[in-house]
Amino acid sequence: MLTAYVPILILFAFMVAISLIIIVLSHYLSSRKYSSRERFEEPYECGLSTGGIKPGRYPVKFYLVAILFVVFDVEAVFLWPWAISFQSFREMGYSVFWYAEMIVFLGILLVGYVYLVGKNAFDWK
Amino acid sequence: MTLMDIVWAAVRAAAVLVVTLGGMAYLTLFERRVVGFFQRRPGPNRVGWQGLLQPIADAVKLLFKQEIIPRNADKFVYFLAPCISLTAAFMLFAVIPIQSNFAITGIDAQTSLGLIEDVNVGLIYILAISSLGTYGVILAGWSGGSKYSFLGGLRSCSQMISYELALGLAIIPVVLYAGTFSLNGIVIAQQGFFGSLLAKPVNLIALIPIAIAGVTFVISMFAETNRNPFDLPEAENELVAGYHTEYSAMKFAMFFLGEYVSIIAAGALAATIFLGGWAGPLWFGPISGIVWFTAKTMFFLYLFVWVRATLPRFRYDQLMKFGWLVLLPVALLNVILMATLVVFGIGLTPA
Repeated sequence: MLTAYVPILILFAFMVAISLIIIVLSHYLSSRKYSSRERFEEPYECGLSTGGIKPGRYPVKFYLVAILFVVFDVEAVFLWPWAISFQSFREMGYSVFWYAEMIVFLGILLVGYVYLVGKNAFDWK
Repeated sequence: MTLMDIVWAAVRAAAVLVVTLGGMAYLTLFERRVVGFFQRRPGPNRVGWQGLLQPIADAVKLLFKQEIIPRNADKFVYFLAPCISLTAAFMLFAVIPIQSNFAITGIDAQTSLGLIEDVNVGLIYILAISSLGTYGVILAGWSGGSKYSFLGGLRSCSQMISYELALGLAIIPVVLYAGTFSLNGIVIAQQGFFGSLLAKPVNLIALIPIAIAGVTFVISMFAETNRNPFDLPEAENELVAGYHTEYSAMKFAMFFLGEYVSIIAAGALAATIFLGGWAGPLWFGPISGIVWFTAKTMFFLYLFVWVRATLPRFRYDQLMKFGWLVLLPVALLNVILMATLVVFGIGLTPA
């Protein structure tokens, strides 16, 4: 069964090779005329003299989105095997059970979703 | 698995690479010309006949550009990020079927010719690989060492993961209909709709959730590939150029390549999952699969350009609100709708 992934691995090997070739080639082919090299190597922030990424605060919303993503993505991970298993459930005559199970699961999830909406978790202010 | 199989697989992989690279190069030209016509200007038409040599000129120019590595960049990650972006985009093509034995011989054979390989978890593979593209973006934003690229990377990351949910949910109605994750299996299951080659019974009610899923899928794909109207990671009037601000020369080109290749992949996927891929109502010889597939993909590529020329960019809070408060609930309710139809026996493929 796993031999099906050998061609994909070959494509992956090709891609790694191409990425390396592009990077090395562009390194040796690129223009060597560095005029005022020092200025070029500073972060490009439209001429303002800043030191790049400052340690400090960044909006917590990004973190919140990442956490919510984990919650809902795990839900989606449950939905894929559920979707694919319908045929076998139907053959056994359990299709209503198959349906009710997921409705209950999604119902529980919906409570959390409503809570999040109520807490304005998706409101970027 | 004999040596011959491996050589044949390598030939297919090389063919995919060459065709996709060429397609990507000419997609840039296509986009610039089409946007030009939308805006009543000619677009690039000087290099070669109708600008046909423009992509080559661009590539040569980018190859010889000065390579600037920012002083406070994390060198290893700085070089790694464009490689991830490029690789993740190309790997999507591994499981997209463009032709089947059926289209070659005219006999209904379930054995398929995915261009590289038809794995039985094709859709899961697609979702997994398209998530990997996020790493390229956030690593690029972080390693550049500039605060604009860092903010661009953060924005892009949270945008991509938000829309990935809707993307993952949008495929479920199709899986419920087709009963398989294999992309070729999905194409075969759809032939009642598009192609009537196998004359499967068509249930029009089942088309409703699948159509909703299709719209959701395409919208999420716009966000996943950072295209207008969701191109906030590179909102140039706010963030210079977003996550690839600090990249120059060929490393910038690698992000550019990755972006356009993933646009082609998005079009090809939408065509395969929702419009029947290589199947078509007319069968004209061995190349008909490739012709239908290309035509359907081209339709989506034109849609990408069309939307870019038409819609303005979202504001960031609107983008997140749209993803979480509109797209996600719609996709979820759509799954429930399809499950309801399926459990009452409507819209089923005869197993």
